[in-house]
Amino acid sequence: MTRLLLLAVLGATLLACSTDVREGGDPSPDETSAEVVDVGRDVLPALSSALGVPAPDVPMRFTERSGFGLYDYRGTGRFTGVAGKPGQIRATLEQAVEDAGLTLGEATDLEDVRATRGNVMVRLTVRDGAAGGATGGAAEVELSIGSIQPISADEDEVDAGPSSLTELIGQ
Amino acid sequence: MTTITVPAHVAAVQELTASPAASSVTTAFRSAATTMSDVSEWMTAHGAPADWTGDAAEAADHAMTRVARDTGAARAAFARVAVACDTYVDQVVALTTRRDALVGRRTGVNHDIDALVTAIGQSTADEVAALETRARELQGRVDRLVDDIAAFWGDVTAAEDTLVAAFEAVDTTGEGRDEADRDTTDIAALRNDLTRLGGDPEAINDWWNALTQAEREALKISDPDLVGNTNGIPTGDRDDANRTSMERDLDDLQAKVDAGEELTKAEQRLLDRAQAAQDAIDVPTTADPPDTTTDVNLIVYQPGAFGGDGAVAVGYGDPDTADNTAVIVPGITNDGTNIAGQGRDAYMLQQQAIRNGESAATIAWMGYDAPSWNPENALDWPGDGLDMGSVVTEDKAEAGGKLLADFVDGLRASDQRPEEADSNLTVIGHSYGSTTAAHAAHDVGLDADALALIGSPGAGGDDVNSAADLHMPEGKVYAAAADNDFVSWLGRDGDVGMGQDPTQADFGAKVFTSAAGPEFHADNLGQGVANHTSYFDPVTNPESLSNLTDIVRGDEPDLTGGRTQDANDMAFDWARDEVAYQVEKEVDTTVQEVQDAYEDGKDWVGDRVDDFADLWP
Repeated sequence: MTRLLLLAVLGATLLACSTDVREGGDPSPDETSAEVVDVGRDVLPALSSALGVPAPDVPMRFTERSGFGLYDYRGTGRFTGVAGKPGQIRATLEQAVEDAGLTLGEATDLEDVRATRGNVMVRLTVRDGAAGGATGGAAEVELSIGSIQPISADEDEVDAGPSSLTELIGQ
Repeated sequence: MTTITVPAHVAAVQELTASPAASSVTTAFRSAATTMSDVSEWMTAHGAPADWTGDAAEAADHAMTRVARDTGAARAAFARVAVACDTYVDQVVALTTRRDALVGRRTGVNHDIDALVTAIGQSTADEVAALETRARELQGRVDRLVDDIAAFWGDVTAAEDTLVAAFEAVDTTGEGRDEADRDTTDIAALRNDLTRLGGDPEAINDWWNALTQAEREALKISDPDLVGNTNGIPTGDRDDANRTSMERDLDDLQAKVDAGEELTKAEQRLLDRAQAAQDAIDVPTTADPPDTTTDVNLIVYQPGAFGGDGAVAVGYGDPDTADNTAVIVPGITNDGTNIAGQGRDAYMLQQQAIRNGESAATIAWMGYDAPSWNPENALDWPGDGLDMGSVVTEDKAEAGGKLLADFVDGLRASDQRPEEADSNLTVIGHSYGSTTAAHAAHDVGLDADALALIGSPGAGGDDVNSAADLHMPEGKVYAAAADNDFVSWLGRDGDVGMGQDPTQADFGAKVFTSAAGPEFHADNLGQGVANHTSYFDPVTNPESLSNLTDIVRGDEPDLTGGRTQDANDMAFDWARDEVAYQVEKEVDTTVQEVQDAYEDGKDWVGDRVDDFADLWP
């Protein structure tokens, strides 16, 4: 019986790995990207306004998780020339994403601010510019935005190159 | 009134026009030299076809000899400039570091000049002497800096002149022939030496380091596949050789595509794997903003290995010099075509690992034949199974374990750090890759400082009953599993299982925290797979990524006590709950359908009654 169950689970695993058919209720690539762009439309201008610097270009793309036909839709960008101390900037970021309609979550040691709306997560990390370097002492804010749960998709459906989030939201 | 002479600001140090990215030019020259070498060797070995006779055959023989000589000259010319480019790139790297230091000194001295001007403006008469001393000291610093900047640009010019001279020395066919004549390197002997050293990475490393630069370059050009995939050869040289092979494959096959020729299935597969390797190499530069500073190395490139699945390994950071190194071993469904996805995981981990200021290299190692979907290799399991079917046995994990142990030995041999301070090396096995890594540790011996098994279907073999059986340093076996990762429910001994679940409390590994992942049902198995692939994901499983980062740095992760419920029982529980869920769902659906049918029927009867009433005024 144990063996049968294990083989059943294994079979299900292999089926899940091989299937090209989206399961019932799973969003399509278009729906997934639309949800992310929708959040970007609110959060990108809010962050830009709160930080007082232009929004960066954020190339968005579908990337496959290792060999299982699952895709995440994500992108990163960096706000540069941000004035203020890291603590102040973090507070500003939290207020901005809340104003944009996202729910703040508990930040981990991988980022300073973590917020979600639906299947979209925004992560923000403050890089202190005090040490100098290319930014001449101003801080930088790394932005990561994208889908939380991956989707099953055919390679053809997600094969398009990166698209600029800034352009997608019409800025 | 007293006059204090304050030095003028030092002018900005101009940008260097060359960058380490110039190494791509070296690869192109080396690749061209390899092509020439192949043609020359073929011509020399074959001559006119054996069944040709007479004057035409003799003429053809002569012609082919001439072509072989000319291609040999071209090979020598390309080899000469490849060496010169290599040297130039090394110089550019060093010059870039020097320039950064000069920029820093300039910023500091100009800042001090401004501070002196301010101090003078606020000074009193009794401070004049001290201020004059400061001004003289500053002038001395300015003079030394200006001299150093001038010397820096002198060295830049010298490096460029040397490179130009190398090109000019071989820019005619005659000069190329002279270069070939001067080249006394016995390639065949070098090749034999390297082959004879076989699987002894330490001996290979010693032998390689004793060669001249010209000999190393010659071998990289004549035998890039051998040099690039021999454990013990320094990572940078393996990368040079493998990029040469990859570029050769991309150029040859893309040229066919561009010419409208139809590729055979084997050629298309080769092109797919070459492009996948290139995509993995490009992972940092396609980030936003592009990361052009991470040293990416193609450490294994054998696109035709394992019946066409391909073997490939890409490293982010240089494992020969890094403080911390990690080798990530992927599991089922992976082969040479999806190395870019593995590369993204490795790069993510590397970027986290360097945040403490230490250097780190992480390697996505697809150097074994994992069970995967390869229609060309469908019957590679003895007798009666698909390639993927081999996942139910440990054969591929055992064979892969041997290859993994050899690869790690190669990293140890090429480590350039002092022996007492070798890179802290961690092997991370995911899914079936954890079974492979466990076999490496148990069957062969894994010369790593730590072993982490994540999402494991079993820690390899009936002889592994506890962490101690993996023979790693005390307390250096780590394990983690998302509660809702169904692959981690498979751990068991026996003919179907792949060994013990390493996250069991009594197994003895240090079990670190991982996000559980959302629950899933049979009609949403994708979620189960998502949980299984979450361990490097900062969005859905930051706990795991953070803990893996700690382990790679040699720090302790956040630990749990480990599972107390048997892995297979977790599968049973899921199956039992799932049956109940599906029955309930079916009942709900049936009830709804009956209700809908009743409502439809009622509406129909009502409509007929209305129809009848209309006919009976």
